[in-house]
Amino acid sequence: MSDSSDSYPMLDLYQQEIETHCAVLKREVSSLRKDESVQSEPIMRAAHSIKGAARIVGIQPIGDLTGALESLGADLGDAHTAVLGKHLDLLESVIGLVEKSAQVEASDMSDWLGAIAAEADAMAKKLSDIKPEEIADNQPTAEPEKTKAISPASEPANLADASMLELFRTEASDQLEKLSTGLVELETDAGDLSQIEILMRAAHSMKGAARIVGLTAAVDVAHVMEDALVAAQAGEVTLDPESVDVLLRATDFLNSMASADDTEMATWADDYAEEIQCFKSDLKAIKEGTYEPKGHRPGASVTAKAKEGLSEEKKSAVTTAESSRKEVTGMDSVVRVSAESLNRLMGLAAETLVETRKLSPFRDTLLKLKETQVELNHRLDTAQQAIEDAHLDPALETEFELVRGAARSSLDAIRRQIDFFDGFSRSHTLLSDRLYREVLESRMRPFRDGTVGFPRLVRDIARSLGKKVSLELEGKETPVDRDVLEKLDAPLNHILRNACDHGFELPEERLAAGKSETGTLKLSARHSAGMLVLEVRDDGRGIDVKRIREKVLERELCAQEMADNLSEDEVLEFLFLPGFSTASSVTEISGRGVGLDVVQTMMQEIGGQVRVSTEVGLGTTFTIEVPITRSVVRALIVDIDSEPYAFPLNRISRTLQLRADDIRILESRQYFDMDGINVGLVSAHAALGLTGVFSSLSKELTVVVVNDRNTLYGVEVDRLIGESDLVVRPLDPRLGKVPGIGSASLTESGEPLLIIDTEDLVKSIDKLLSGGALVKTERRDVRSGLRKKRVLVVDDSITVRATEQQLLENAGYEVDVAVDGADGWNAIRLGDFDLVVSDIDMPRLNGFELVAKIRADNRLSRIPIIIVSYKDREEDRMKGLEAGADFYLTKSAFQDDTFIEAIEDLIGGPEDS
Amino acid sequence: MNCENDNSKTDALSHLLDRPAPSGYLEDWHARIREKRDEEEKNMLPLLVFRINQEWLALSVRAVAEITADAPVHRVPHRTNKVLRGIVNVRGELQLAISLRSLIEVEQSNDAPVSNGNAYPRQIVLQREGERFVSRVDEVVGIVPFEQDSMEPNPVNVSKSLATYTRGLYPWQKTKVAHLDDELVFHSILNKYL
Repeated sequence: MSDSSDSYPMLDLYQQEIETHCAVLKREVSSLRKDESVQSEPIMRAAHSIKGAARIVGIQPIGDLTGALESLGADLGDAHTAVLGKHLDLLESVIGLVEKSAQVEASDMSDWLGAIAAEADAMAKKLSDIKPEEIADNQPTAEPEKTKAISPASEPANLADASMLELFRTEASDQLEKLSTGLVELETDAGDLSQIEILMRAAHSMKGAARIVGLTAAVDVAHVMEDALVAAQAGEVTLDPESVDVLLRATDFLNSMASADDTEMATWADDYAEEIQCFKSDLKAIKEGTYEPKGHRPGASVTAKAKEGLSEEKKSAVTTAESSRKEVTGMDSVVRVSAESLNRLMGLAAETLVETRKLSPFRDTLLKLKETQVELNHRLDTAQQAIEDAHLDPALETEFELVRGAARSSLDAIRRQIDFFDGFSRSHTLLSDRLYREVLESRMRPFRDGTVGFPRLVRDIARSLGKKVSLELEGKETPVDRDVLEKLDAPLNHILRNACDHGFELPEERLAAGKSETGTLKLSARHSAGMLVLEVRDDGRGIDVKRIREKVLERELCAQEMADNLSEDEVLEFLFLPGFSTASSVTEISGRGVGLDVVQTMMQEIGGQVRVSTEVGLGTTFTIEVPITRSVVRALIVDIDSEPYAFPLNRISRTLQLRADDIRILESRQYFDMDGINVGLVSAHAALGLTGVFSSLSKELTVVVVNDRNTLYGVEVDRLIGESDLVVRPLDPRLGKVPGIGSASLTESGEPLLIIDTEDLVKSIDKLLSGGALVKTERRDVRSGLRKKRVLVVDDSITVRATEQQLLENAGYEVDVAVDGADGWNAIRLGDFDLVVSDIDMPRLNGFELVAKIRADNRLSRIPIIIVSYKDREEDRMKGLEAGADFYLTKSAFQDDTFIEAIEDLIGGPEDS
Repeated sequence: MNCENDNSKTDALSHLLDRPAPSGYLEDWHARIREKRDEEEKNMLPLLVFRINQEWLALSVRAVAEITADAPVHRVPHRTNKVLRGIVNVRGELQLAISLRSLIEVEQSNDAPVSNGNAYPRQIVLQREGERFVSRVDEVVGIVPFEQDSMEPNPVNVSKSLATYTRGLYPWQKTKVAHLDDELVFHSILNKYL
């Protein structure tokens, strides 16, 4: 081990490896903390891997330390749970030190190692001092805090298994949402006793749910909440805003507990003992009517967290609990359906529709058949006349009569069949159409599902600013696609916050301006021309357009002359520029722009628009227009290289036919003139990388002009097919992000098609237009004349793999890697390798088994194999060689040339002779 | 028949029937019956037999999700290669289409077609550990049980690639069926062509 800083080249890999294995160790330790029994094997394995990795990169002290941990695991055997449980602190400091070693910069490594050497040594010694006999003697002094951590913590973990906790979470989130919504409404609708009753019941159910899973702390808090609400209902106390604050905070507190993970939940009662106590006394005071708000707020520390939890909860739950009793009446009940199942339903419904389209051609063939039958009957009639005239044998005439009869009844049969089929076809077409629409419809949720948190949000912000604001919701039942609804949450949140923060005046200012004390914030949703239109209207102070104009000039965003000519709407557009309004201007218009660019960005992502209009003194209105759904897109279908592709209609500026001589070529780029604007032209073939870059210029070109923000691009396609509503399907995730392609769909005839991601396509067009270097690079480089020898490295440690790969490549060999034995076995059969280097201890298929498999295969049996292992005992060596390995090396072989020498012995140098 | 002797005769008869079985008798039959069932159940391997070009191939039934009618494949720009063909519609869901033909390099020969006139191209939906791929084949015969003992090692006269993917050959209707290794097929697609 040298002291120069570059002697730790593998540190990056080392860090990755440490991360994985430390995670395992921590998990085991946290199980131990909860008094659960653990397996010693994962601990040993993790320690073993860290040891190996540390030794390879030359961090000896960590290697020794984890080595001690590994042998401890081996010594303890079955007794490990009890013994390790008593040394949790030691284990944690060991893990801490190991983790720290991965964070040290290569240049500081030597210093750091020097600094911790003594500490690491002491820890290693402590580890090796641990003996199984310790189980017997009971030393409470050794781990004083351990008992404290375990006794209350283990309570819920023992009482409730995972599924019960899951049920508790669902129940809690429903009940707490009722509480939260109800409390806010209670404030605006004070004294409504039936409202309080709902709250009481919610608190009561919450208490019951918590009791079942044994969360005593939650039971206590819910209990005092219920008491306070009972008192309020009985009219013994009135709930003033301060009391509602406490109740809301208690709700949040419970919510953050319910959304904590199992381990956190287990220690919750201890971690927040003070808050719990505080809630209990405050709520008791409320019940007795003696509550006085104090300076500090219990639970304030977890409020932020609670909010996070709340939105998280909202996302995961497809359904939302009925938010208030007024709306519940006449509402459908809601069930949870997995998104995957819904997608599959959609696929089947669409396919049914496609199949239905085959009925009509089938009917046509039936009609043809009928026509032939009519013709046949007609001919038979004529023939009979001839036969009668000819006066043939009567027996023949009878026979012919029978033939005519058969032909007639066959014609009748087919007529009946056609009638029947017509009826069937009509009803089936109708049914499959309805089915399809219904499935599409099922993706829709009422707008109110996306608004549950808003009344609370507005109330809290307004209260904290000393303002009075009431939020009115309109069009709560307007259907919106659930994806779109989810995406709207953040922008709406932002706009509402902004309105409360900057839009409304303080109550006294409002009174002075002759307005009512309480401001009204109105959020409405409606459908208009196939779009969802949302309006957020406040009756606050409005925005002073003049001030923005000044600000625009001040920041030199445009010239004086231009600024003067900008219309009011255009000036307001500046509000959406990133960081337009800064803290330096805390005036009437201040902060209006802060974060509004976020809204704009989200709108771009989902294909929507946001506008703002304002009148000084009267208020401001934000209008958002988004597509009602993103699962159906109206698109133009075109033919590119004999396959259908679709351009979303909202991105198309126009389509046009160009003659070849309309195209001008400037610096090897193609342009054409459209209404006086120079528009760059690129063939879709090139942009999608289908064939050559420039298509042969035929006389007429079909061009789709797409717009990306303010730039226009012409995309040459082969043919326009038509407009269609497409149900958007995600592209197979195994394909990754395909350049220029956004998603997939099916044509009316059930053929797959690809939907173009215009923005992304424009990016590749840009590259094509400006790059000039259009040479497609081949993914695999062409084999040079001399074939290099190929070596396969099989090891489950990324560090070892990388070390071996580096050593081999430095020596000139071509290297492939496999992550375990089974992976290796597959690679060997496909790979055409000259040599295999394998580890022994690997998941799925170990090294011995792998060697045996190779030796048993008559096509592969002659490949030389080297085993490289940490195991340096003679019996391991013998076992490896018996299995059929040609060489057995220990991993210390990397330190010198042993490894490469062994390989050269077996297969010679890297080049084929 | 004399009635007086009736009882004694009946007794003698029931003695004859009730006598203990000779030693080894039960074991003998037990073994015989078991052997036969073992032979039938254990040694038969059901495989889906299909054809690509002139080559008869077979896949383990657990690697086959379904067989569907042939359908058009849409290439995916920047992703399509000789094995990964693109996307294809299978009952309303878009699946990845691959070409077993290219993967195992079944060569087109000019020999007379090996099949009767009723063969239609079909798609096989392959599945393994949650992964699915669809491949077009020239003809699907159906599920055929093979005697495991009849497996023969690979001959030398097939392409190297086909030999790599073949577990072994089974004699079938005057010709041979190559049993493909589905694990290796999936490994190869996932690691080399996706």
